[in-house]
Amino acid sequence: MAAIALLAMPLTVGATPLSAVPYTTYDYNLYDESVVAPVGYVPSERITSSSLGLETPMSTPSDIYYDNKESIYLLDSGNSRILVLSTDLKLKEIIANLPDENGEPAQFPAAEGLTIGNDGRLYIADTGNERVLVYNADRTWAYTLTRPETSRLEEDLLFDVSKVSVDNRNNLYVIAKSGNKGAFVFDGEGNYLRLFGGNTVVQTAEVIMKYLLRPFLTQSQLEAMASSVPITISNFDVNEEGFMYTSTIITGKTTVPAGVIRKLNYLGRNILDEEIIFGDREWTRNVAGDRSLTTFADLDVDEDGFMNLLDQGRGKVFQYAESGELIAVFGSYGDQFGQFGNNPPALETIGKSVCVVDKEKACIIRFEPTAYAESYREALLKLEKNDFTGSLEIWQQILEDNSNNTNAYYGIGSVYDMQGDYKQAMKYFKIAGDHVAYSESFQEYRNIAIKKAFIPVVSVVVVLLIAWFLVKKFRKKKAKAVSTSAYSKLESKYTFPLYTLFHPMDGFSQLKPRKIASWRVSVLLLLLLFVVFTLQYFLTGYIFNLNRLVDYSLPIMLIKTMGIGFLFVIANWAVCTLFNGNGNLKEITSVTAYSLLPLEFAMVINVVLSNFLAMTEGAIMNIILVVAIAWTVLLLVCGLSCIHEYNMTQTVISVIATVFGMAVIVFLLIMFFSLLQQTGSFVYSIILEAIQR
Amino acid sequence: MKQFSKIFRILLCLMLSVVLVLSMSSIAMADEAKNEEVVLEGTNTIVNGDEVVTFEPVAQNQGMALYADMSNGYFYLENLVSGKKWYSVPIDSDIDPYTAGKNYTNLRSQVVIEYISASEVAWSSPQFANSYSDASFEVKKVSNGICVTYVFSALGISFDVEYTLQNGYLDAKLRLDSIKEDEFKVISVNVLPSFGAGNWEAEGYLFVPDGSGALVTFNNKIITTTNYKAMVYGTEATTVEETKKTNTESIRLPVFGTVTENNALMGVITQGDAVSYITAVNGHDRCGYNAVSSIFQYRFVQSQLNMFNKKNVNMLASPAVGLDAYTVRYYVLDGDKANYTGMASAYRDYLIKEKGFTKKTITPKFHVRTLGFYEEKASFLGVIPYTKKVALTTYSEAMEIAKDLTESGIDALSLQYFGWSNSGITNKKIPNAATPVGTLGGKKAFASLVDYCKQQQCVLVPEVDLLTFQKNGNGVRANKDAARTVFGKVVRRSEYILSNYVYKLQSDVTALVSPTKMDKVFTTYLESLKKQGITHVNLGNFGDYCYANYYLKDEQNRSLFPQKAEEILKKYNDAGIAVSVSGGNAYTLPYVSRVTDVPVCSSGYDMFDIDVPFYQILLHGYVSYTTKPIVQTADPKVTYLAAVENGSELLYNGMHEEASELFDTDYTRFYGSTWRLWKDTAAEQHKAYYPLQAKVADQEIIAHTEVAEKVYLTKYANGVCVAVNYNKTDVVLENGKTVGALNFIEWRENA
Repeated sequence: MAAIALLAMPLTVGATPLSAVPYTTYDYNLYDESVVAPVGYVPSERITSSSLGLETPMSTPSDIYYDNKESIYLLDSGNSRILVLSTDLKLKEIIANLPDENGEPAQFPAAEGLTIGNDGRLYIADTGNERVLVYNADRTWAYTLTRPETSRLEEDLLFDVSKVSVDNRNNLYVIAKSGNKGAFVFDGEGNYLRLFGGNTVVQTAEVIMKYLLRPFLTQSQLEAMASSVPITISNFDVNEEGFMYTSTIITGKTTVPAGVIRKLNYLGRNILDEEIIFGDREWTRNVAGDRSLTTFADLDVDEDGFMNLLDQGRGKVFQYAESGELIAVFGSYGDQFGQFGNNPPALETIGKSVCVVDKEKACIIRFEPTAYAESYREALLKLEKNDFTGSLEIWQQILEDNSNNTNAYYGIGSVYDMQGDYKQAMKYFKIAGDHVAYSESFQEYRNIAIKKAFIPVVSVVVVLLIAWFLVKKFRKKKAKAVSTSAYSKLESKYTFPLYTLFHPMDGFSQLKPRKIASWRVSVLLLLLLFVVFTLQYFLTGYIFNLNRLVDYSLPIMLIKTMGIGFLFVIANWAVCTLFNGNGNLKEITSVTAYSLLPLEFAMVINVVLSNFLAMTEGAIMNIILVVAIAWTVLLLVCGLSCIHEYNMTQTVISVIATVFGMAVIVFLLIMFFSLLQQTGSFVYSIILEAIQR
Repeated sequence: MKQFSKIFRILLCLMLSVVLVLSMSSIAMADEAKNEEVVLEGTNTIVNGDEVVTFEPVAQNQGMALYADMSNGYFYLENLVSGKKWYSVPIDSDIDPYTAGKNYTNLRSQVVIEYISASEVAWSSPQFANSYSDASFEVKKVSNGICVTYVFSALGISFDVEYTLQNGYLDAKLRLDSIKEDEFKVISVNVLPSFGAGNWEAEGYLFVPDGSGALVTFNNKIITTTNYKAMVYGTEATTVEETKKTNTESIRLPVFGTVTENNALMGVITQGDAVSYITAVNGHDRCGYNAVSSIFQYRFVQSQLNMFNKKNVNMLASPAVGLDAYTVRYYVLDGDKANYTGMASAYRDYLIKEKGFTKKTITPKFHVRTLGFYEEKASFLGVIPYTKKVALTTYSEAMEIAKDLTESGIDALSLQYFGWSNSGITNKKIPNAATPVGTLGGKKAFASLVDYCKQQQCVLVPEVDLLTFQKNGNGVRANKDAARTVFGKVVRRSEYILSNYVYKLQSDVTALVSPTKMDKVFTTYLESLKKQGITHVNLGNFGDYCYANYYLKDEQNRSLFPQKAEEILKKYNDAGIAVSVSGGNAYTLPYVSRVTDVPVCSSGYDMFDIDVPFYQILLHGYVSYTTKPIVQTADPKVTYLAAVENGSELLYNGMHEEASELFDTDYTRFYGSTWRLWKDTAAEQHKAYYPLQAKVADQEIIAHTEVAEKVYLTKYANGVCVAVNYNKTDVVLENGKTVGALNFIEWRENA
C-alpha cells in the first residue's frame, strides 16, 4: 500500500479545489467603500498548451468565442490558427492554414478578434493587416473586408479592426481601434452599411463649460482638454435578442464615470440605467507601478443576462446584473492560480462559468461560481421578474453566506412590504440603506397608524385648540397692563431678538441709541446655530437623513456654523471700516446673530417634520427652509443698513465686498498654515538627519 | 558550426558512456550494500563540457557516502542503499538543450550571492554573482567532509561553506565568521541552488512547504516571470508595503525536498531558518532543470520614500548578528519513504530527536472562535467623544451558544474566546491582564461560564494577541517599545483597501511589540493567567508573526526571534499552561498543544501543480490543528472536505450579535459569524466527521494520494482509510467502494 503511485499522479494542473483565492473579494457599501464579501467565483481550471496536448504551444491567444452550442473557438493569433474546444475545454480541432484571397495560408499574427456567425461563418479581425477575414462554414475563403471606399467616412478614419461581432440578422459589426464614431456595420455580403452606436460626447454641461473657457486657456491646457472628443467603443457583445452591449474606453479619468457600459437597442439607444457606475469606485493614490486605471477590454453577457466585464487596467472581472448590482469581483494580476499576466484580452461565459484568456501566460483560466454567487444570481433574477415566491428563503440563505449584502436586506424588505408587514419592511430597508423604499413603506405604515389613531388624535387636537383660546384670552388680559409703550420691559436684551424678528428696521435702529446689543445674546445665538445644525445632523428622520453618523466631525461642524458666522462678522467689520460704516464689532455681531433666528426656527421645525413626512412630502420642508432663508437675508440686510447707516445700494455693495473679504481671509489662513507645516516638516527632517548620522 | 556539433556529439557519447558505467557500478554497489559496509570506490571522472570533474571519496556514514572534487568543491552524495547519487551541481548541464543565460550559470554554481556596494546602497539595487563564473575556490579536507572557500575576488568577498557527512545527513554550513567583505556587502547567499536537480527528462517532483505544502512536477513547462521565492515563517512583519495585491500563505516549516525515482533528498534548515527563503525553479522551454533550495538572508535592505525627491532610498540593516552559522541538513530517503509523506515523517523524527517535539494527548474538538467585543470611537451627539464598547458575545451569551450547539449535537465543543478581555478584538493598549470585563457581564458571569464549561467538558480557551497595539500603556510605550525600521521609524501596520490594494491612511494604525520587549509582555500576562487559574490559552498570532527590530539602538535580528519565542513558550509550559497558537511556525510546535488556522492549501503559485497536506501529515497524531474559520473561506464546503482529507478539526467564527450589526464597522470580515446562521450545517458536518476524528485522533497519517481525479485517499497508521471526493458526481474507487459527490467515505484496512 505504501508504494504510493505518486509519479503516476495525473498532471491535472490546479486540480486541487481551492479553499482560498489569491485575490480580494468585495462589494461596495452605501458610501462607495469596498467591504468584505464572500468569494463569488473561484478559479477551477487552467487550460494550457500542455493540458490540451498541443505540439506547438499557444502563442498570444487573443480572443475567445463560444457559439452557445458545443464549440469554443480560441484565436491563437501567434500561430495564425484557431483552436476549437469542447465545452469541457478539451481540444476538438485545430483550424490551421486558412487560405487568404490568393489561396496562400493566411497570416494573422496580430489578430485580436474572432466571431462565428449563425450560419457557421468565421470572422477574424486581423488588426495588424487592417482587414477582416471571412470564411464559410466549410472553412473556405469567402471574402476579405478592408476599409470601405465611401465618401461617407471621414478621411482619417483608419481600419485597424480589433473586434468583430455578428447579430442575428447576419449583420457584421466591426470596431476599429482608433475609431470614435462607432462600429462599422456590413451586411451579410460584406457591403458597408453605416456606423453604429458611436458614443455620444460625455456630459454636455462639461463640454459647454470647456467651450466657453476655450479662449482663456493656454495651449497645454487645451491639450489636456482633449478628452472632450467623443469616446471610443472598446468592445461589444450581441445577445440572443439582438441587443448590443458596448464598453467604452475611459480616458483621462482616475475614477470610472457612470454609463460606460451600454445596452443598445436597434436604434442605437442605451436602455441601461445611465447612472450605474461600473468597475471600481475607490480612488487610488498614485503608487509607483500601479496600473490602476479601469479599462474594460471585453464584456460578455451570459445566458441569464448577467454582464461580465474584463477590466484590463486592474486585471479583474466584474459581474453585474442588468440592474447594476455587483455580483462578484474576481481575478487580479500576479503569478498565482486565478491571477492574470499582463493585459488579459478576452473573456467568454460558458453557462455560468467565466473563461478568461491570458495572453502572457498563454492559457485560459476558468472560473466557476460559488454556492453564494449562484443563489445571489437566482435571487436577483427573481427580483427582476417581480417573482416573490420562495424569495424570502433565498434571501435569507444569502444573508447566511454574506451578512454584508445590502440587496439581501432590500429583498427581504420587499417581501415584507408585499405581505403588508410595513414595520418589518422598514427595518430591512433601513439596513439596506434604501431611503426611497423605506419612505414608501413608512407612508403605508403611517396611513394605517393615522386610521387607527384618527378619533383620539382629533379629540386631542380639539381639546388643545380650546385650551389655547382660553390661555390666549387670559394672557391678553395680563399683558395689557404693561404694553403701554413700544418698548416694554418684556423686551429685555434677551427678548429683543424676538422683536427684531418682526420689526427689523425699527428694532435694529434701536441697537445704537438703546445700547441693547449684547455679546452674550449674540454668541448664544451663534452657538444655537451650531446646536441646530448638529441636531439636524443626528435627529433628522431617516427618510431625509443622508448623513453617515460616524462621519460627524465636531471641528468641521463648528467651522461650518459659528466659524462662518464670525468670519462674516470680522470681514464685514473690516470692509465697513473702509466704507465708512458706523457699526462697531458688537453691533455687527448682534445683527448677524439675530438675523439667523428664522433659519434656526425653520431648521428645528424641519427636524421635527422630517420624522413624520414621507419622501414625496419633502417639498413642504423645502418651502419652509426657503422662506426662512429669505427672512434671514432680509433681516441681515436691514440690520446692516441700520447700524452702518447705509442706504440699500451701499448695503448690497458692502455685503458683496464682505463675501470677497471672507475669501481673502480664508486664503491667508491657508497660506499661513501650509507655510507653518512646511517649516515644521523641514525642521523634522533636519532633526531626523541629525539623529541618524 | 559543423565542427562544433561534431565535438558536441563526441562529448555526448563520452558522457553517456561514463553515465552508463557509473550507473552500472552503482547498481552493483546497491546489491552489496545490503549486508556489509561498502568500501568506497576510487575516484571517478566526469566530463561536463569544459569542466572535468574528478570525484574522490571523502567520507562515509550510515548508508551514505560523500565524494568530492578537491579542485572546485563539487560533490555528490550517494545513497548507498539505493545507489542514487545526488550531485551538488548537475553533471549533464553541458548537453542541456533548454537552459540559457542566468539560469545556466546559476545551475552550475554551488553558491549564488546577492551583494551591494556599501557606498552606493542608498540609490542602487542589489546585484548577483555566482560561483561558476565569478568565483575561485579553495578546497580543503576537514573531518568527514570538505570545506570550500568561495573567493569572489572582483568583489572582495569570500566565505567558507563546509560540506560534512554527519550522523545520517549531510551538513552544509556557512560560518558567519568566515565571511570577509570589503566595499561590497553580502546581502544573501543561495546555498546549493541546484543540489539534486532533476533534468529535462527526469520524472519526479519538488516539494515546497508553502502553506500546507505544494508539489512542482518536474518539467511542467509552466513559464513564470519570477521563480518561486518565499520567506520561511512568512514575510517580515515589519515591512509595510504601500500596496498588497495578493493573498498568500506563509511557509511554516524550514523544509524542502526533491523526489525522483524512489529516492528523495530532503533539506532542513537547522540554523538561521528565520532568515532564509525557499526558492524553486521548474523545467520549461528556457530552463532544463527542476530544483529547490534555500537562500540565506545575511542582511536586510529596507527602503523608505524620500520626502524631497519622492524616490525610495535604501539602507542596510546590520548582518545576522547573534547567529554563528547558517546550516542546512540534507537527508536522503529511499523506497517507501521517498515521497512527501515520508519526508514529513523524517522531518517529524528530526523534530522529536533534536527539538523536543512530543506526542500530546489529543481529544478532537469542534472549535468556535467566539468573538467578544470591540471598541470604537464614538461621540454623544458628536460633541462628547468617548470609547464605545460593543459587545458581540457576552459571557452568558457564550454559554447560550455552547448550550445550543451541544443540544444540536455538537458535543465536543471548544470555545476559542477572542476579544473577551482588555480592549477586545483589536488591541488598544497591550493586554496585561486575563480578567473578565464588565462590558461582557463581569466576573460573575465569566465564572458561571467557566463552571458550565467544566461540567460539560467544553474547553474554554481565552485567545489573546500580545504582539500588536495602538496606544501607550500597560508598560509598553507606543514609540520606544515598538519594532522599528532601519530608518528608526516605528512600524505601523494598517489595513489595505480591498478594491485597489492601497494602504489605508485613515484607519487606526497598529504597532508591533519590539522583540526585546516581548518577554516582559508575555510574562506579565502569564502571571495574570496564573492568578486567574486559567490553564489553557491561545496566543494567536504568536505562532504566525516572526520579525526583527532594526532600530540601531535596540536591535534584534530576525534570526533570533524563534529562540525568544521558544523561551517564552517554555515559561508558559513550565507554568502548566497549555498553549495554542495560530499559523504554527516550526519553532512553536514542540510547545503547543494545538495549532489553529492551518491552511488547507498553498498559495497556488502558477508553478505549483498540486497542493499536499504536508503540514497536517507532520502534525497528525502529535499535535491537533484546526482549519481557518470555515464560513469565511473561499468555498466553505471545500474547506470542510479538505479538513476531512487532512484530519483537521473544524473551526467556525461565532458570535451572538446579529451579523448585520457589523455592517458599517471595521469588522465586516466577520460576515456570517452569527452562530444561528451556520449552526445546522456545522451540526451535520460534526455528526458526519466526528466519529472518524475519534478513531484516528492519535494516529499518524502514513499515506496520502490522489486515487482518482479530485479524489484523495488518506491512510492512518491503524489502517483507517478516508477517501474524499471533490467532484460534483459520485466516483467508484478501484476497491469497488463508491464515494458520493462532495462527500467522503471511510473504511479500515489492515495496518
